[in-house]
Amino acid sequence: MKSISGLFLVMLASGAPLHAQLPAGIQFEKGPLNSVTIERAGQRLVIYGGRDPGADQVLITHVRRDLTEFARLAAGNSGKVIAPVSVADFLDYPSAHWTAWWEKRFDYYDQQVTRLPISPLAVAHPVAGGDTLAGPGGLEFRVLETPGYTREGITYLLELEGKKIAFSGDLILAGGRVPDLYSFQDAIPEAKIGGYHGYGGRLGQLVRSLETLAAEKPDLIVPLRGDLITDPQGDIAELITRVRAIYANYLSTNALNWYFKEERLTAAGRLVLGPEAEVELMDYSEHVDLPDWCKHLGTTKLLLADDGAGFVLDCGGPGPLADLRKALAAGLVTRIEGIFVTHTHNDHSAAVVEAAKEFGCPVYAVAEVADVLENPGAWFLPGTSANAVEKVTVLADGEKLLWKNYEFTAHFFPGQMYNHGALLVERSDHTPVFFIGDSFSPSGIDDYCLMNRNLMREDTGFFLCFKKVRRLPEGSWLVNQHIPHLFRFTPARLDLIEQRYRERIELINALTPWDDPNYAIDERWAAFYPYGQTLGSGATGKLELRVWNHSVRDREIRVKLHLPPGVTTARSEAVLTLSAHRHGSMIFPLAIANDAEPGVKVITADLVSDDFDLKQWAEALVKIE
Amino acid sequence: MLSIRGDTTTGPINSVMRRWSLVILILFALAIPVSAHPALYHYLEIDLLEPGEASVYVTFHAPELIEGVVTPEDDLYGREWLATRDDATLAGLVENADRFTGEVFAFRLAEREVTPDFAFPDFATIRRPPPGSVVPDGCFSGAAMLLYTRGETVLTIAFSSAAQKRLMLIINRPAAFPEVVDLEPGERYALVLPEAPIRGGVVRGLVAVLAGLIPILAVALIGWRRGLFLRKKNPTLAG
Repeated sequence: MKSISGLFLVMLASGAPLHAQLPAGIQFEKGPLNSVTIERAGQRLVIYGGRDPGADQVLITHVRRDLTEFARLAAGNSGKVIAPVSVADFLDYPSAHWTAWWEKRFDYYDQQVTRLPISPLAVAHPVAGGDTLAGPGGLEFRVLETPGYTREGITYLLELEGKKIAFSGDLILAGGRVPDLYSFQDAIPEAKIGGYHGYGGRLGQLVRSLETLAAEKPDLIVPLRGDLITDPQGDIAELITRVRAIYANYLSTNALNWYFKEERLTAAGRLVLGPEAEVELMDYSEHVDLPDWCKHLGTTKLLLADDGAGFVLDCGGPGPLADLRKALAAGLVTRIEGIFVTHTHNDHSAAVVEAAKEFGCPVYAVAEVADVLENPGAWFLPGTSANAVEKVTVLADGEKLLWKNYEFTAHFFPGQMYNHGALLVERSDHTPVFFIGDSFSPSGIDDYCLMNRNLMREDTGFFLCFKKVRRLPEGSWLVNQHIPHLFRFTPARLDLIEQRYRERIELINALTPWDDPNYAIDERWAAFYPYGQTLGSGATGKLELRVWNHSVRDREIRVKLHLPPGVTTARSEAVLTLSAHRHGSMIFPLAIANDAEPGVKVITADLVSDDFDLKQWAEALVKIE
Repeated sequence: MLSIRGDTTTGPINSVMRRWSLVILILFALAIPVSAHPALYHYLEIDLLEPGEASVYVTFHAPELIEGVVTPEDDLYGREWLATRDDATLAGLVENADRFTGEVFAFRLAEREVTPDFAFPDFATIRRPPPGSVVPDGCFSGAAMLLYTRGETVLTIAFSSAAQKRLMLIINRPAAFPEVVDLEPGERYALVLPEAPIRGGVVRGLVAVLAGLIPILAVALIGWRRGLFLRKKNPTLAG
């Protein structure tokens, strides 16, 4: 365990000795977000933001809504905001994004952090790498492109009184850290890997940006959060070392090696590890053909009973559904008697509602999957289908279901994603087969998308999956829904995967400032339920904030809602006390004014605890009709 | 015996084959059963529904056909990506798709190498597949037909070691579950074909009549619904 080291602390500048290293004339105020002020020739330039309005220029390095609101405070009504050119249009009209987001949040596989601005912020001067920006009193800022933590990130370089100072936003924190890991999820075009499969997809860009920054030999880096960086070369080197260790660890047990093979994964690896790096990948575990009683139809598996009836695992789209229809029409299966849904991604669930209606069969899932199937709009998770299933029969973890010549045992199996189940299938003439959804492949674990919430805790996530796989009867096989094979790990192979995963926890713990690495990998540790809801004018509703205290100590979290015009609540502030590793929630009543303007509105919440102050962190959508 | 050959790259039979492909595509655009999550595999599907004919469909995850490095952007691998490409980009994608099939797949009927002449949907269909299509987001497909003779009983599919990801080979036969073969780059698969019919006499006459009718049918259908049909490899021929 570690303390948060002041990186998110609400600390004031007084008494902080590092500030003395800044040239005279640069005022630094440390807070949840740092503020820098330079006054010259009667002009006031602010970097990041600040509480005093009326700055003449406000420089921001990237776009997150806590930063843009901070900048808005400093800019007031007349200040000129300078921002990366790639986000200027977005800042002009963010409501276009949120209106489209109402639909786009479904079937979403880009996996970009959603903490984007809600209100417009006029950009007076968009800048890009290579630009030089004139500040007050003849100051000059050079602009460097420094993507990594965000796609658009830039750094402002200022030389003053013989010192070169870099204002780099969230690119690097003191001690060679970054605020979290999930923000780096992105496509890796060089390796033909999409955003959904792009764990640490911008870590390569981060390394290049850090190398660019190091080449400038800054004397001091002023990050958006936390302490000043007084040893830029040391901290940059430390951060590069850390992210390389994490990425090498990730690749070494990665399920994608089964699909994408060495060439693509090596290409991805070398973007982070270096152009000549050896990339370690796990070889394939034992795998054999599926038995005759299990048919592979896209991402659907069809189990056939002795009497010709069928039981389906997952139904993700029109292709598998068409295959099932054809099989029924051809008499290859007499009827479909049930559908078990392993997890909530649309390639496993989108056609479940249609299949269940057509075949007149029940739908089964564990509780963590069932609610997403029934209320998809209430969740924001990768690839969630908007096709709500009317009724899902919830199977408890360990609950058995006898069907024909089969015995099924349902399992909560938070592997590839938290909202994930598995089905142990046993029949007298075959070794047990554990249908584990998308959680493992013969080359490792499906942990490539952090937005899937792969919690790194002994009591859940992949560690729970490892335990369940180890408890299987000897010789049991695993089945992935995408793979037409049975496969299994030797105990030694499972030991290796688990050991590497455990090592990664420590690496991530060192990379980020949080007191538990799960805050760094779990974007939705504090999230609203429902994520999206429709309310008519004059209607009332409610909004639940669900918070998981990942820390190993109790936490008191103070919550403050930010409501759009036309939406009110009788309780906009509340306090939630959570024991270590526990989750809890609080409910806020909502009322929509009779004259509320129709459209998609965004509600956000500040979260404050004793060692963090997170502005407008969680968000929910309300569509007013 | 009618010598409709699997080798469709040269000779007068080629035009007949293209017309066959046209008809096939009309069907496949509405029915090709490819699963979601297209990024994980290459997909090759072979229908053996009529003796003597092997209908071949390959599905391309379009962003992977781009040469060079593209800038990350929203929906890079999603459903809107194809919809927002301009004609020149789509022409390049189709050209690359055609080249890709030649580089990654090699087909052999008995002792004879065959090169399927893949046909592709037009740009409007690539951008917005018609209702009912099951082509996954970000994907489009090509189709070709291989005709084989009675003595040709095995179709060998070689999958290049340079393919960069696995191949899901799906074989459809009448009244049977799809046969699914998972190939690694560098592997090959010998597909046993149903015995081709003896072609001659009446059959030859029927084929000739059908070949004559197909252009008329195609023109009528294109008039009925532009946007569903074929773009050959040369994009200037697009309707």
